[in-house]
Amino acid sequence: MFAGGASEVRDRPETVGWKSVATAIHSMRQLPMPMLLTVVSTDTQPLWIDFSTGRYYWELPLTSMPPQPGAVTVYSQPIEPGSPPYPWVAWRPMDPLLWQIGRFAFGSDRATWMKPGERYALQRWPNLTEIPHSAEEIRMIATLANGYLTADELGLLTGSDTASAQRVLNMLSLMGAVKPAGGPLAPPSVIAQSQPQPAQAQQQTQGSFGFFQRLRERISGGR
Amino acid sequence: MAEHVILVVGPMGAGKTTAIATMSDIETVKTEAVNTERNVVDKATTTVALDYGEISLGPSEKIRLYGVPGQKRFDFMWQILKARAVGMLVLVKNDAQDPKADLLRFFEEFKEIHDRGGVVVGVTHSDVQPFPSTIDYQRLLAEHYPGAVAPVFTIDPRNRDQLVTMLSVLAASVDSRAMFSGR
Repeated sequence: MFAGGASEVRDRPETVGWKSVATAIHSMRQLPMPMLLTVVSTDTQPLWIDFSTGRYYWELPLTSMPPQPGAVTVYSQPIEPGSPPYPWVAWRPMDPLLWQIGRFAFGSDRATWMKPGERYALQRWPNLTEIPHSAEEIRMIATLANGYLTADELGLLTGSDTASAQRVLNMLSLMGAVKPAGGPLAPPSVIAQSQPQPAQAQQQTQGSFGFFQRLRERISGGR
Repeated sequence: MAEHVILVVGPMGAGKTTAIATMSDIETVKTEAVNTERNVVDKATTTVALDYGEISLGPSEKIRLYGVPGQKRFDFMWQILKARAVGMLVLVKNDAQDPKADLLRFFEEFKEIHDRGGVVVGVTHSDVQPFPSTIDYQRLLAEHYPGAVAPVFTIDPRNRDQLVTMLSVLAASVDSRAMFSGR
């Protein structure tokens, strides 16, 4: 199960909450080898994340996840490819977990690994039928599917504030669902056409997402 | 009357008829008959022409939902319907023999809808067979269609909330595509 004779390789423990966990997760995703992350918290149950299969195990439902986990210790260890650890537990896809941690970890601040002013585009959609989400978040994700945008630009195009746009970018980035532009890039032409006065911004966005808005009002009360 | 045609496509047994019945405001029009291909899918009936449902968005606007028969011998209908469609829901049955091939076949057949509007993929029966995962399907589409970022969600075609999510994502995709293309 565990690579290198099953002995655990432990990183230096960190103890500063979901931000620390998110940063560790992001680091693990960059590694070319399969890893298991174990999160031990003073206030809640231990959490395992298996990056080889993209699954996690936590004893409780995600709705029980505390916004502040207390003192957190993060352990990482390499595992053998094709041999997921602890086969007797009910592993679940990790998108919903990362969405939740991404929401709690940074608030409306930029994630530690993201650069100011950098543009991001959607690389894959998160599995939204398994994730609690808002209409605003659907609009933002759909918009990111069409071009590279900064948090400011994403907010402008969707009628949202920059803080909300940054939070969505943080969550998607933690999931590996957005990619950075990787260099200087001019803003999409739609940005130049979408510089309304503040009073006009909301109205213009409603017009841009008219089909979506009418559908949501009809079938889900606008939520 | 403004109308938006949305197709529901996928192989036999993926849940197209059920999904339309779950979404529709009206009693759906079902055109099923005895399944002569029970060696392929063990269900007694299958869609032979079209399933039809509607969602009213107001007094002068509606969504028309067409469930398209999955068998290749009905592909003459696909040509007629796809020219009118603004969007498409592709249902893939995860416990089928080769669900990845099913997705590629339908995506290729209807790709023009993705290019001009919106396509959302719903993976059914993932409770029975969890793999391929939604990420596996998105990787597959990215390999075959670089630049196409299609949403892929696990769904139960009897679950209205999940279908509302699929439709909402499709509508947001259509709107955002129009915004970027200046339409």
